[in-house]
Amino acid sequence: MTPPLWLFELLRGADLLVLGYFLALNTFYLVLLACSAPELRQHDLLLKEDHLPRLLSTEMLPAVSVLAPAHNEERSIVASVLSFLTLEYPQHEVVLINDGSADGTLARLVEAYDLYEVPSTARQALPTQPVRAYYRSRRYSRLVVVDKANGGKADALNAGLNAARHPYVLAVDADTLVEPDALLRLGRPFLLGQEVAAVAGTVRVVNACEVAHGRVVRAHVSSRFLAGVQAVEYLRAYLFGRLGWNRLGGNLIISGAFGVFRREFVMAVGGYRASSVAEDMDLVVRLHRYLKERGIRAAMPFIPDPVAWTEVPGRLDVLGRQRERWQRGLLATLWQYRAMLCNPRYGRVGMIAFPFYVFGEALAPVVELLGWALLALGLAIGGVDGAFAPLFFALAYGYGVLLSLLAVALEELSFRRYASVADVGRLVLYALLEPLGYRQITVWHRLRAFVRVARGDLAWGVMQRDGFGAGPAPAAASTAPPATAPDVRRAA
Amino acid sequence: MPNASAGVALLVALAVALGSVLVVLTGTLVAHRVLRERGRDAAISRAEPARRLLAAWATSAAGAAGIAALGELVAALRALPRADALRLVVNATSAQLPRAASAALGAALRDEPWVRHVLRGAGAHAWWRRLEAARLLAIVGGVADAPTLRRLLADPHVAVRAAATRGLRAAADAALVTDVVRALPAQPPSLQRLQTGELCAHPEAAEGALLACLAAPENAAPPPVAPPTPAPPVAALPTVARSAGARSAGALVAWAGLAAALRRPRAAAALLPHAGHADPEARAAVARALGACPSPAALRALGAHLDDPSPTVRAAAAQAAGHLGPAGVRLAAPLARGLADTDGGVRLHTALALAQLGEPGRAALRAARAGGSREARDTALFVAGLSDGALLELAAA
Repeated sequence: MTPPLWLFELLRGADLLVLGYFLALNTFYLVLLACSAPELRQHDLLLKEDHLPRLLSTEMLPAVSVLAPAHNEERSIVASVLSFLTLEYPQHEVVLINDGSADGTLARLVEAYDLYEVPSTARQALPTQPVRAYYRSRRYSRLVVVDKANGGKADALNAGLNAARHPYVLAVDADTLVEPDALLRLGRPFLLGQEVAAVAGTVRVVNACEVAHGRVVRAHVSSRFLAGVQAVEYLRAYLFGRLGWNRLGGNLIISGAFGVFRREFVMAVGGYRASSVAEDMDLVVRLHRYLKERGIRAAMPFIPDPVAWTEVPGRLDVLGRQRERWQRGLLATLWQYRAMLCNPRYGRVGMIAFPFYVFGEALAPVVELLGWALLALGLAIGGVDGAFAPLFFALAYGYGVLLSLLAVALEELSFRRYASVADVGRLVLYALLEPLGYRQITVWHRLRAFVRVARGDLAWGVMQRDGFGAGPAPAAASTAPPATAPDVRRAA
Repeated sequence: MPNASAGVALLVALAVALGSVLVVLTGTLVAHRVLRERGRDAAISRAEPARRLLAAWATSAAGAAGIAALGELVAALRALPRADALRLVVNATSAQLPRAASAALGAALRDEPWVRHVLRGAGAHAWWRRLEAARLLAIVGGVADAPTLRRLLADPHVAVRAAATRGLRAAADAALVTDVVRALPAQPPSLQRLQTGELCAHPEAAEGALLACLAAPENAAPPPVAPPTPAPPVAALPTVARSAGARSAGALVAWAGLAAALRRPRAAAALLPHAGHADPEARAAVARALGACPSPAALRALGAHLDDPSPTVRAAAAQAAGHLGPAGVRLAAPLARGLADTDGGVRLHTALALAQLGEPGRAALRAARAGGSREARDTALFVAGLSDGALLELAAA
């Protein structure tokens, strides 16, 4: 039986819609890339002959409290805290929040840092799970440990905000490896006289890097496909995604693994929302809303050269849970603050960033699914041109690869963190392979998020980690997995 | 169907073009890395003699050997590409060289052709060329360069102004110091702090300018300081220079910060009339400055600040009283009242201050631990349990 003509017309119309969507989206990514290039150039020029060592002896930079929530991290916690304490910065304290660890995290800290309990002097401005005790160190006067009942990462960060003394806070995951001068580099907007509400730095993939004493000593791209392809994703997300947004109205996401916030503003919006799956994005969107509604001109720039290293999933099931959770967080946040969508009151955040995240990020998996469904239908009814379809796919593939390769090119032209030619080769290889299977897997898990959100399921999952550096770290089963924010999604 | 075949042809053309771009891009990426690594090795070996001489100069600058090495070093730098020489000199003087050695190197380099070329960038359109000039001027500049420094200090790019600020120590004359002090409130906070530090290298001129600014009638510019020599026409420093007499809260905060850094009694005394400024931030800044330059009048003003309606001012006054050490012992009694303050920050700074005042302060803390309000007891217990390092660190913050 020949299908009716209207079905062909409908198919053609839907095809054009999907095609137009992906064309527009990829073109927008090219605009982001075009915006990121001059930003990168500016940072590169400022970095040349930078006075970083001199900054240590000046009072140009504001004091910062480093907030590090930890949950069941007894094996790595001592080294992590030491790496935070030895960050190169004129004035910073470290507030380690033990979020109800069931292992020996606190005992290891007490022993290693000679902790002693002190009475509480912090005002509980943000509600949190009960704090059991505050500790200070006899060896490091800048270390404060907050021991509290388990409440998740957002709750732990709120406890840290209550205990912090300095006007700015750096939120990091306790198992994130922050480069020694990263905090100093994050201070560039302050040096340039910018009024700042938050500053974001780059998060990179630590899998396969050489790590010693809590520091990445030589960066490599993993030879394992899953970790390697995520290195390309992170490059693309940070080097031209985030950087491009600096010129287009500001980022909606500052990674929970590495971002500085002005404490006054975070407290004013009520701190982190413990019920949120994506507490970092939730906070940044609320900050945008707060600043716009009060007419406060404070930027949230992304700075490309300060780097923190994080471990990415090395197994498909863990990756799937992570991507599904990120997508749920994105959907929940966009829904929660939907009043900002296309609302001129919120300036470019409402008119550019928010619509992009709704139509270009959140709905992308749905459109991609629709594209696949239309292809299947077209093949079934003979409505697909035999020459047209493969060529179209070749073009779609090529366009996607082009964006990834351009991100690798930006990395090569700017920071060149990866040590060898082989690493560059791997990045190129993974850029070529990413659209062939990996993308479809991540799209599938993101689609699952729609189902869970429809069921009202907003719980965190379990994040399995392999560990890095000397000796394997325990596979941490956390209610607050130290993963990055939903920031490496890309629709096409 | 001609339309369909035309569409396919178009797609084929696009696919070929895109494929070519991808191949070229991939090849370029790998080739770029290979060539860059070779180029880097060559650059490192090219710069090695100058680097070695610079290290030797850093350790022997003061002696006769250092003087001999300086000539060699200058020649080695001259042989390098301009960008390499600039980077080497700027990085070395930032991180390694003692100030005297840096000054001697700057003087030796001042007339080198590559240095003159970089300094000519002070008038360039591109901000990064002005930035390079400012960075180098901070090393090689002298008083004769004051006009160039003035232009760079008025640059629209903050990074250029910050780099030029480093040149204030060597290249500023009294007129420029005056202008920098007057313009201080117009700078962003980070630059204010940097300029404040550098102005301390010219204490007399900075104090004179500060006194003029603080004494000038509201909304009137302070009397200009005549330059020592007739100055050529140069750029004006930013806007506040025209309305420097206006003691807005922001201006007072900036100038009080300078007074605190200068630690000169006359500057502190000039702040006393502003101790009751309407803005709490300004009162807090004055309190901090008064703590840096103790005098009977400053102690009286600090005592009043301890009872200020604003917790920001009370906390700043308590912190300043603590910095006085035993010299602030007469503030122990009013400070002790602050242990029961409604604001946690005030209580903490009060307890920290008492711990630094000597026996009268410690007695007040013991009394609070034995009785009084729960907040006072907890704060006193907290401070009593602190290690010496933690006490100093908390008190300084």
